[in-house]
Amino acid sequence: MNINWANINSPNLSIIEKHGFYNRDGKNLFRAEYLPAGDIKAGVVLCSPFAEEKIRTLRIYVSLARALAAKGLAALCFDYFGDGDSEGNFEEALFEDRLSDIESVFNDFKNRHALQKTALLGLRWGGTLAALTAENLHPDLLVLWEPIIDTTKYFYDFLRMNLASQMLIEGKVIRNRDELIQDMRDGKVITVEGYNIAGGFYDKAAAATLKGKTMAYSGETLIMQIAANPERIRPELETLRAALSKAEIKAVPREFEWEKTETWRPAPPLLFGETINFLDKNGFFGRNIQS
Amino acid sequence: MAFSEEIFSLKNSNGEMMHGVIHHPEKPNGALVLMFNIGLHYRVCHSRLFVRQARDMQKNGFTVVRLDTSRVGYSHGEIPIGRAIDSYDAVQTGLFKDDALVFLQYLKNRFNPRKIFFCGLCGGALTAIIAAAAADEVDGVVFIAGPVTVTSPEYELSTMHPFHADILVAGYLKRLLSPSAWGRFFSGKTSYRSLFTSLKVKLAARLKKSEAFNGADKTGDPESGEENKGELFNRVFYESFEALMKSGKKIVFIMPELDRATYDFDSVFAKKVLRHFTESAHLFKVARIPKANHTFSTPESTRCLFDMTNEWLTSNLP
Repeated sequence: MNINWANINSPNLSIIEKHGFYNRDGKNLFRAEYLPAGDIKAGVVLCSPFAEEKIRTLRIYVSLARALAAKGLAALCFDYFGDGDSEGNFEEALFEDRLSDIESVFNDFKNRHALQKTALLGLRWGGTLAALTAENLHPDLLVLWEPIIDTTKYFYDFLRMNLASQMLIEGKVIRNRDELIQDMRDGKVITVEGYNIAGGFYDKAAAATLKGKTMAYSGETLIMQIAANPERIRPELETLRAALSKAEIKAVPREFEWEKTETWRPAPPLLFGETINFLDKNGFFGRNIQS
Repeated sequence: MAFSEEIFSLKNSNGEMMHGVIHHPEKPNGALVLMFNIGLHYRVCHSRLFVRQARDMQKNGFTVVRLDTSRVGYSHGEIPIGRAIDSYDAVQTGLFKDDALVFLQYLKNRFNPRKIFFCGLCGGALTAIIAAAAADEVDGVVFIAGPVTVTSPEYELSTMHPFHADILVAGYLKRLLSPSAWGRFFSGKTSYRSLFTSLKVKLAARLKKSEAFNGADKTGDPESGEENKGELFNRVFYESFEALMKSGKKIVFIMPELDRATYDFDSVFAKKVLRHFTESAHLFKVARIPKANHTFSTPESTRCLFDMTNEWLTSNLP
C-alpha cells in the first residue's frame, strides 16, 4: 500500500483541514474535518471511545483521518457533548446525547459534502455506538475496531478505577461497586478516573449492549479484533458477526494501547491497512488503490 | 455564561500546523493564560481537566488558551514511533519550547495582554517553565505536578520508584494483623516480588545519601556526555527556574500529595535547592494538595487545584 505511515501527520497540501464547532440543538460540538483537495465522493465518520480511552487514542483517529483524506476520502473526527473540546460537562451528557451527536454530525457531514458513500467507524465503545446508530443512519459501511460487546460488564469494570482511587486515597474501599451504582441511582454523581458519571447515563449506557442484540443494520461490516493473539477470534465477536447480515472479522495484533500509553504508534499499519483494504474493496476510493 | 470558545491554528517554524482553543471571558481582566499539553497527550488533558480548568479561569476573567504543540493532538508533526517513555525526557528538557514561543508571539499580538502566564501539568509544566524562562513577556508560571527529574527508560522500566514502594509497604503494614492477608501470603497468592522489591527499595531510599544534586551536577544536560542512569535532577528545569528567579518572574508549584512527581520534587528540589533561593522567596510559592493524585481525579482535589490556581493568578494581576 502506497502510504508512508511514519509521515502521515506531516504537512500535506493535498489535505484540507477544517476545525471548529458544530451546533447540534444548541450544543456546540467540536469537529475536525479532513478533506481531500479534489472531488469528494465518500466519507468516514469516526466515533470516539469512552472517557480516558478517547484521550489516549485521539492521535490514532487524527492519523487515520489524514490517511483517508490523503487517499481521497473525507473524514470527520468530533467530540460528543460534554466530552473532549465540546461544550458541556461530562455528567451533563445523557446516553441519548451520544447517539444524537453521532446522528446529527453524520447527517450534516453527508449532506454538506453530498457524499455518495458513507461509513461509520468506532473504536471500543465508539464502535458500540457506531453499531447502534448505524441502524438508523444506514451508512454504506460499518467498521468496528475491538467493539465493546457486553456493555454491562464494561461499565461495571470501569467502576473498578473508583475503587483503586479509594484504596490510594483512603487506604481502603469505602463504597463497593454495587453501592456506587446505588448511589448513582439515588441521584448522586460519582467520579471515576476524574470523569463524573450520573445514574441515568450509567444505567442506559450499560443496558445498550450488543450482547445478544438482534442487529438491524444490513450493510457491509468489518469487525476488527485487536488482541495479543490474533490467531483465535473471540466467541463474542463471532456471535456479533453472525448477528449482522454481511459482516467479516479480521484480526490484528495490538499495535497500541487504550488503557495506558506505553507504545507511541499513532498510525498502526496493520489496523489501518485492513481498514483501508475494506473501504477499497467496497468501492470507497473509486479505484483499486493497491493496483 | 454563554459558550465562548474559539478554535485557532498557526504554523510553527517547520511549517507544521498547530491548533489551540481560546476561552474568551465575558469580562476580560487583562491577563492571558497559556496551557500546554501534558506531554504526548493533547490539550484536553486526562479527564478533561484542562477543559474544566480553562473554563473555571475563563469565568474569573482570564483569557485562557489550551494548546497542542506540534506532534500531538490535532497538530502536524511526528514523534518517533516506539516506547512512549523514550520521548519523556525530550519533553521534559524542552522539546516543545520553540512551539510554545510561536504561540506566545501570536497570542500576545492578538490580545495585547497586561499579564501573561504559562501553565502546564506534568510534561506541560516543563514546557511552561522552560519556555517562560526564554521569553521576557511572560510574567509567571503555574507549574502543576511536573517531574523535576529525568531518567533513562531502562532504569525506569526496571526499577520500582520509592513513592510506589511507600504505597505498597504502607498497604502491607495495614494488613499485618489480617489473618486473610497471611493466608494469601502462605498460599502463594501474594506477589512476593512486589513485597520484597518494595521493602528493598524503601530500605535503600532510607539509606541513600542523596547524590542527586550537588550544585554543579550536570546530569540531565544533553551536552554533558554523561549517561543518565536514574532519577536525576533535571538540569534544564533547574536552569529555567534560576532564570525565572533572576529575572523576577513568579512561579507557583502546585503539587499533589499522592504523586511520585511530588516525592522527587521534595527530595531533589524543595529540600535541597529552594533553600539557596531565600532572597527570591517572594517570587515562588509551593502549594500542596492533600489526597490528590497525579491526575487530580477526585472532585475535591480538582476543586482545590482550580482554587489555588485562580487565587495565585488573581494575586498577581496588575
